[in-house]
Amino acid sequence: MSGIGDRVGEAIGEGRVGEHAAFPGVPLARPHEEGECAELFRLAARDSLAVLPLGLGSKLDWTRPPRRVDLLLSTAELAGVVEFEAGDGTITARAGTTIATLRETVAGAGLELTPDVPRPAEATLGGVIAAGQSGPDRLAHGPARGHLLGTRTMLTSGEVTRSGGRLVKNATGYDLHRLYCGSCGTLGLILEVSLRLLPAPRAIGMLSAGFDDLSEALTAALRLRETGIEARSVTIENQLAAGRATPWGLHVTLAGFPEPLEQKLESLTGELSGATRLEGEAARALADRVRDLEPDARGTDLLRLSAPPSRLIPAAARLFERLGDPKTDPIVVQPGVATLDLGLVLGDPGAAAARVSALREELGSLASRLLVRGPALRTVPLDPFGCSETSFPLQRRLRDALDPGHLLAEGRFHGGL
Amino acid sequence: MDPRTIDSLRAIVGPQGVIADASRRTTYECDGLAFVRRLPELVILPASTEETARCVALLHREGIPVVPRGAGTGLAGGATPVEGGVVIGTARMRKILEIDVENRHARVEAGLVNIDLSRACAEHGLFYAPDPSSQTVCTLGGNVANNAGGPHCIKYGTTTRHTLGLVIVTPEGEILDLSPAEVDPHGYDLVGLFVGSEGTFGLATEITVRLLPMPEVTETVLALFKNLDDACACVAEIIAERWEPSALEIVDRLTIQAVEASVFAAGYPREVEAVLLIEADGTPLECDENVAGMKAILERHDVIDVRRARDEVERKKLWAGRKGAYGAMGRVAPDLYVSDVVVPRTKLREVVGQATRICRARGLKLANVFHAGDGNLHPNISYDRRNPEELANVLEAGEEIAKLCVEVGGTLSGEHGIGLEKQGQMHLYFSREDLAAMAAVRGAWDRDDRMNPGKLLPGEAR
Repeated sequence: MSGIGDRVGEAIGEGRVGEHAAFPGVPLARPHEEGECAELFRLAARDSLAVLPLGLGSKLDWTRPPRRVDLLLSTAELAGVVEFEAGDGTITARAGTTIATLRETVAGAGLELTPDVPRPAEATLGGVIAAGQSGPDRLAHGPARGHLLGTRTMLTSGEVTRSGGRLVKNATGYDLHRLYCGSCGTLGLILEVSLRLLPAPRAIGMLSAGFDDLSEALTAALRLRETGIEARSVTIENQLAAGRATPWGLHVTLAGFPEPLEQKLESLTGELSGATRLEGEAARALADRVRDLEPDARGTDLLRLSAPPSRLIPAAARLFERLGDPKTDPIVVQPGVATLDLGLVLGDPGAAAARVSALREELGSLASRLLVRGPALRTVPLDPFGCSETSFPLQRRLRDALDPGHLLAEGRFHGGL
Repeated sequence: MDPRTIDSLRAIVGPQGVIADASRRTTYECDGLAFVRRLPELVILPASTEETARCVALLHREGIPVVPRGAGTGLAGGATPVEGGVVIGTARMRKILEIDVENRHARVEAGLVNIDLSRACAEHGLFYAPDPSSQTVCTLGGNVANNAGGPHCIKYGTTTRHTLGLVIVTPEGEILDLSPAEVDPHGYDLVGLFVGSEGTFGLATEITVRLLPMPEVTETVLALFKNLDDACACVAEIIAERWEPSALEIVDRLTIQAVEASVFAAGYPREVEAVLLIEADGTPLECDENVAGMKAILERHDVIDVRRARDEVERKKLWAGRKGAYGAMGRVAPDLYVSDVVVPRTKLREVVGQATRICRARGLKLANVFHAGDGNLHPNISYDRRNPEELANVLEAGEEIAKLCVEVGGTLSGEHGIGLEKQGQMHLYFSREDLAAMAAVRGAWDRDDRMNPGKLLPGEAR
């Protein structure tokens, strides 16, 4: 253990210091109390340490590695539900609480929370909010930030600050919690999060149909929007690897009261010829499987194409001209949310950077964007987000305002923040 | 103001874009917080983002503060002019720039009146969800500044959930284009942060909003009650039992009487103590399920009668009463203090009862018309602003109600914002550290404190 590790151990106890595979040699502190986090920030300020906040670390590859990191500060042990107001449809929990725990807690009261993220037992609430993660239910509920009611966040000064609250409606003060959501831990350490809950659907049904090519599946998915039936999620997967008869699977999840649901399923079955219909437990099981589809789950890289729904088909075609193979690579598309995720290994750093950058230029004309995640970010010299914004000076000032001592590890976020 | 500055501004926006004449400036001396008035030094009405940016840049160079203004319907003093300041209104920026039916969004200028957007989208089967009571006059720019709500927020959420992108003129007069990222923000969520910042971060001139498909059917139901308590209890149970209304609005007896005596008469029976206006939308079957579920709750609470609007005409009439309630209250007293607080829905009954007692003890006339489904109360207190003692009494009652709400886990504002009205109450809800963090963020946007200075944050936090 490094000298820093010893000092961290002295501050919070040796048993709470370990390591994370992504950053060998860098101490990982797992404080159990908020006061210990403040103590660690004091230590960081005194010794000029660069601190990287994380939950369980499942999304560290979503950004570039920081320019320097001396201490990993995990909120994983700061877990537990603070207040569950079933009657008001809200929940407040500490950052380290897993999404699985939260889902279980609220399910007993007939409620659910969004986002419905993949592998919920491995995702902490703080991590999901800090990463601005959404799930396939985004189609129905919008991005998770729309349901974020408030946060308690520790700034690098060690001060705990609150924004928003625990109420479903609130116009009091600036919505700093919206700033923290998706900021990837570059502004402070999220300690506690309040979310609006939603009534759990009384029933769930699914329709699955097979297609020979992606463009057909996308066309069918976009046509479903015109029926006026609002689905909970619509997902297309490249299912060749799963050994299915048709290369592309289109899965539509519907939710609601049983009788209206039945009617909607019937109506959509007419639209999707040859679709298989699932209800009850079978539908829930398939919905869970579709939710957990992650093209990069096996350590490959991920390219996320986002485009307005009307431009998704040409943008996808352009993507596959340059990168990936739709016949073999794992692909998951959320047409309603307008994202296409492609899992692949980017390979040779120089060539990969050039291809991504050329592709981004072409996609610009289709109002589309390409985001890169994964292990390649450690070696490939490219901007994972691929955009240049006139707002970066303002973003820098915001960061400086909340972390004036620049204690949070830099270089990971948009614009090198 | 230096005449040369006025001439320079006139050169940018043209003669029709400058209001220098004192009598015409009085129109801009207050917003809906009518008891605070200050004559602006000048009013400018630019016709484009570029004109706005040039004006703001010039004013910034001259060290002159700017107060952004939409239609001036805000109720917390957010658009009240500031000492030595210029008001920049968006009244000449009312165009719909684009309705993208396929991708379900619209790009509009900030001065567009809220309802005009939904009217324009209707032919495409789309609508814009946030619908404040003032939607026939208020602007989308003002809605963004205040994170406006409305009766249907219970289902669809407030303005922040529908704002996809913005073009902002910064306090220095630069144009910041935060037009929508396709899925997520490029970097920090500046749009999410800007919504509800009450004109203190900059002036939004262009807004991209999400449009929603119009529901197949909408059912509107009016439930009549012998007392306000029962109406509140029903709302709490409807939420707790997870029914999914698209609106749950309560109107009390005093308001009913004012409404029924006005041009907004909706057919609410004058003898009842409260009406609960319930709406559900979706497919016909979904509406039936929802309404049946909620009706069962109403019946458990001694409801006098439940009336279902038979057609669109009747439905609109029921809503005209609700939305015209503030106007109708003019019959009761010359002025109306419209408070705006939020409580957990489980506390509705308790807080409404206590707010009534607070006003009664002070000899004040309280009327309630509110977004019960969101826990967003609007205790409306009648007064006469020419009577300073009565005004002081009203403000004290307002603060007492706000304190009560915070004590039970509520907050100071649900949709009107803080403005000038509630700055002094911010410490009830936020700690010194919370306010300092907000002040630091404000300083990052507005380094010279020129954009709507003196609003929202209390003096000691700035």
